[in-house]
Amino acid sequence: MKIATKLKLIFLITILVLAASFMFSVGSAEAAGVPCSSPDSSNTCGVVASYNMVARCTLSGSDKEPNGTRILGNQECSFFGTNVGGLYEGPGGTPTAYTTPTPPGWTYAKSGNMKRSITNEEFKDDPYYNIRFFGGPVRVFQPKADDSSMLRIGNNYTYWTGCSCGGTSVAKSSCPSSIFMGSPNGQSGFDTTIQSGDTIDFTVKNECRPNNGYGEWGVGDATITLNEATQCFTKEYLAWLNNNGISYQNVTDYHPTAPGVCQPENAPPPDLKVVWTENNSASISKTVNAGQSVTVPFKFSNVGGAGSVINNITCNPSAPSGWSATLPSNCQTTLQAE
Amino acid sequence: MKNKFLTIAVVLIVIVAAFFAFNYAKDKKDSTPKNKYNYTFFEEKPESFPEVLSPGANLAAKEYWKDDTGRQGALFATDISIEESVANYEHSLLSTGWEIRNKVVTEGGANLYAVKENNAVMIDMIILETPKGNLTQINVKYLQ
Repeated sequence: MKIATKLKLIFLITILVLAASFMFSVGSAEAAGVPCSSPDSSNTCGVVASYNMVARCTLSGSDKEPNGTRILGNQECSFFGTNVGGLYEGPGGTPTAYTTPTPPGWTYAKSGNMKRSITNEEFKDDPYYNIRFFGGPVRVFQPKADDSSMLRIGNNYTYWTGCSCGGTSVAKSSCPSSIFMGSPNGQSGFDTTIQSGDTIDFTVKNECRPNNGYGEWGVGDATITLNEATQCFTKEYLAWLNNNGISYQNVTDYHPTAPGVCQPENAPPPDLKVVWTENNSASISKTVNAGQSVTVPFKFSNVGGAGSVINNITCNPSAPSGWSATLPSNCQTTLQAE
Repeated sequence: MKNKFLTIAVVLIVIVAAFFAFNYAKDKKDSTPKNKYNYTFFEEKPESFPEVLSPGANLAAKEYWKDDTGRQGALFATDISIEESVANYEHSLLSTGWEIRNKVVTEGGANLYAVKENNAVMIDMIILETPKGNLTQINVKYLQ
């Protein structure tokens, strides 16, 4: 092999070390418990676990306005969007639409922690977890509603049909059975997938005309269980654990930065040290004949400050003209002289 | 002349310091979670909190909280299994008039959602691996 070629090889390997040193990013996945970084690395600082999001709407009110006007049906409670006031009996008995979002004296009660969209951003529902969902499988459950409900996830709709009262008839006893539509398995509980950026809508509708005074005329709920949400402990939770016999030294907020990765707040940046396994050095010289290949393993360590985290290593091989370089998933470099 | 250079140097230092201060403040702001609530914690259950947040036996190490939106919650830990914890809480809910609307039990955790009139309760359970062994942690949220 010519000296120039050897020099090229040394140059290439040195470049690969430098590239590996700089090209790391967040990313690896853990199954359940997420270990803390130093100095609490024997403890858990988060979990990858299912997380429930719930939306519930309840429509209540009287069957008449204070002035005696009869209130009809078609009221719609939207968990995120604009409510619809439905119909009232206008002059001559004509069904007329309310211009207000609810009939006079009615309440549309909304409860739950459903998110408007799954945006891949961190959120918090209680003092103990910083939560982030990076997309993936979810379990949806939409029990039968009174009278009808609609759940939209991205472009997928599922809904319970209700009575076809036209908004004017009480006629609950003669209603056909409600049916559930749009789910992949025909059931009101089903598995699906949420992509990052999908928006969510949930509405509950009272179809029929209320009667017999004040009452609850519509109610419905839906649950979306995020199967694998990364939930990182907050300093409040770590303090609570400390008070209950589990010792944490770094009581700080941990944040989900990648699936299965919890990073302490204000952690110092990681510093990647990479050396070739064979000579424990940053550069190495290899002699390769044409047609032969050589595999050059390397090892890395984090020499950053306490609490710094390396989530993932990305290697990017490159080769000078006349050489090919392949890189298996374990980041061992194989060079092939052509 | 000397004073002029001194003035220019001071102005430059102030501009550079302001630039770094602005970037520091911006980074700090960007890293703040969007939905930040203020929490108040209690060692004992306040009388105004509903009984569903205090299901009784087999639960220890309590802490109660409320946030500035009216949500209330409790945190428990127990050494009994997820399945037993679900069964205990399910029994407690049903015997006090709650209707369980959804229940998901997986290997590492469980989620329960129950309603009573216009109120809802969400219960998230996870297995927490600790140096002292596995704990079932029960996180209860009460939504009005």
